[in-house]
Amino acid sequence: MFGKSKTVDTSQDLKNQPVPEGHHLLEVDDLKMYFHTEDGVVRAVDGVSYTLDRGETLGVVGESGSGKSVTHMTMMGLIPMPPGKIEGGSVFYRGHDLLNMPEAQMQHVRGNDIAMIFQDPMTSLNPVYKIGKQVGEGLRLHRGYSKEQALKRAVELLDAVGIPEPEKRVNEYPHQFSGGMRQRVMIAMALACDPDILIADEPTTALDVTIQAQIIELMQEMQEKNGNAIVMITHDLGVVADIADKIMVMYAGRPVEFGTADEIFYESRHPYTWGLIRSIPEQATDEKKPLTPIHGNPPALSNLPKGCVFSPRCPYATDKCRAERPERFETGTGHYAACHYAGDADFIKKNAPDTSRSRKVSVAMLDQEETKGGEA
Amino acid sequence: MAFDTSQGPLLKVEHLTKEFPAGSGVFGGRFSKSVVSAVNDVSFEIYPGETFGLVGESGCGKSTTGRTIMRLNRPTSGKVFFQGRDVAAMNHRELKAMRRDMQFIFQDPYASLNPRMTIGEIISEPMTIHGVGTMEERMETVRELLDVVGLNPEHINRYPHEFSGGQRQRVGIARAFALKPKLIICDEPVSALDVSIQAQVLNLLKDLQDRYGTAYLFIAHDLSVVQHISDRVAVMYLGKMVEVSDWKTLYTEPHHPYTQSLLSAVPVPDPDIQKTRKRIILAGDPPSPIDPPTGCRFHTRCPIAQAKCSQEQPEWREVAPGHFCACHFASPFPIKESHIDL
Repeated sequence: MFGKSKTVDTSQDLKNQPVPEGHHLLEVDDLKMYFHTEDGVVRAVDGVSYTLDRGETLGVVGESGSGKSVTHMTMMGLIPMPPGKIEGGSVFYRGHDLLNMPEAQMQHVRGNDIAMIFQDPMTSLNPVYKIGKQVGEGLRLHRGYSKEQALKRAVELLDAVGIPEPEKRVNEYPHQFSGGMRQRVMIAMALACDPDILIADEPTTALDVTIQAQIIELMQEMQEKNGNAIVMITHDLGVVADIADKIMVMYAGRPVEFGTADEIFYESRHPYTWGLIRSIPEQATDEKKPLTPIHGNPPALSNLPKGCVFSPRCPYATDKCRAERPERFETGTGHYAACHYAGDADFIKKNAPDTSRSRKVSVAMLDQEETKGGEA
Repeated sequence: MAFDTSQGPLLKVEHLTKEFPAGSGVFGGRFSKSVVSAVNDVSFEIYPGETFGLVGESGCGKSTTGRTIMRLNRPTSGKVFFQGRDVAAMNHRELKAMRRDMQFIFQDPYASLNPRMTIGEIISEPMTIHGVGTMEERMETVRELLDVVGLNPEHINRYPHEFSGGQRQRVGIARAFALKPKLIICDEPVSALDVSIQAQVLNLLKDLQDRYGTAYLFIAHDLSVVQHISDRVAVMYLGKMVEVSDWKTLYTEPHHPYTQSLLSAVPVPDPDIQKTRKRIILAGDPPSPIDPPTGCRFHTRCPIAQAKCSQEQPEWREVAPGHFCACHFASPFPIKESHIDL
């Protein structure tokens, strides 16, 4: 205000405060956010719960309209209210209630403590500002850097995310960057203030597969270095397979299954997760199997089916499914599935898709039986 | 194999090249000398009933290839023979007749259907243009087609906005099949769709092929989708075809380093496999097609490039029967870890 740079006290930043005993870095509990529109109530977020700790990566998987983006926009206070309205639940970050935080404080949290990367790097960068200015903006705002300091740090950040000749490129405009390079700029921007949590909303969907691999590797490298938590929102189960510690599968605004990556891929208990896995063409090398799609279309959020929201498309749905909303069935490890039959071992064994692990087990069992048979 | 090679190819593309004028200015660069080399010396053939997959990253020229075959673009040089006749030399009337047998399915089911036409009008339009049947007969065919693609025939008078993305793509497919063409060029037909819907549409395309014996040129950037649907697959990079083979060989014994890296970059929805498999992550972005690299166009990003690669264009050679590859150092063995310099 008076000089070129003002010192900002960062010790009051939420990310520098300890996580209260017995709590997690981020705790989302039964979050509900509905849009009140002329066509009725749209239940966009309907009971989302999860916890996240530093260094962890959460994958949020679901099809378009499943509420995965809007859940996180709600948490960040980016949904205009009205038409949106929080109908229940809570979001605690290091013990602080994000939903009831004054806007001035929330502004300081956004970008500084929790940063976001969006899907489309073209529309999320301002075309009339130079890259350097945009990358340094957060530092000027949250850390009180001077223009020169911010630009210097922007050069370092661009270098860190693998942009060649950063000194030259800070003075260029977004249109002079390719899609992959723009997404690197977005990552540099998000990481500028060393955030605690990075929410990446389909960060690689608009990119080619070789560039996607580069960006995912970069995000992992940055996480190893900074120890931040990542929420990776994607529609592609493949993207989260090797980087997610935990996965939440969403359908029609609700989490239908949550668990560790291994639990979701190898011990899934929800027919929707099975359907997603079966819909992906396998990299078969001997024989092509026909895909098993999920029939029908996702329901309109303003007119949800009675009972289980997935029941109209579920091949195993019973009258109970069509009448009663399922409770979450939870195993001892925190793995839960919102399905009436998630606790039924026979049902799961009969209907769950084959996985590379279950195939190994069945081959081993066959071998055993053969040796037994040989002995007898 | 499912397709028939005894009668020769349905479509034969020979040394196809398409260049667009580059640069800006009042005349859109029409008088400038620089060109975008979108497709360069591409040759392949498609047999009746075959699905030929064309895969590559954005800007590699796969869509331009498809559009030039249909003569939505005029080729700069090279020839396209469809049922033995050169598409590039056809006049307007011949083109119209040719397009009765060659149809197109577009990527974006929102942009490719006229919002002011009912789906009955949309699907019957190709028949109207080609004067097939009477009005009643055409509507009867539309109802049949709607049923075949899994839409309710009673919805014939509805408008595109009343349908979801997956359903609209079914309308686009019904339109392409209205004239029972011999070849359909599918340009990224499922990439705008969610995975559960994508599987529905892929199965539908396969069913329709079994039913009508149509050949597909299937253009997509998603390798697992292309592998799933194709009999043979071609990989393109920066306007050049770098490898062609049957689907199985391409995935088990890829020869070209670009194919190898592309395959290794595809995310596999299986943590055990994903964590243990070796990945080749290419450095940098694809270069601009306005000024493509000399020699092999891939040499700037190639993990095994040597001096020769920047000087000489690699020859298009047959490395095994039916398996072609353009690389000086192509080998069926995956690139060694030590070659990867990041």
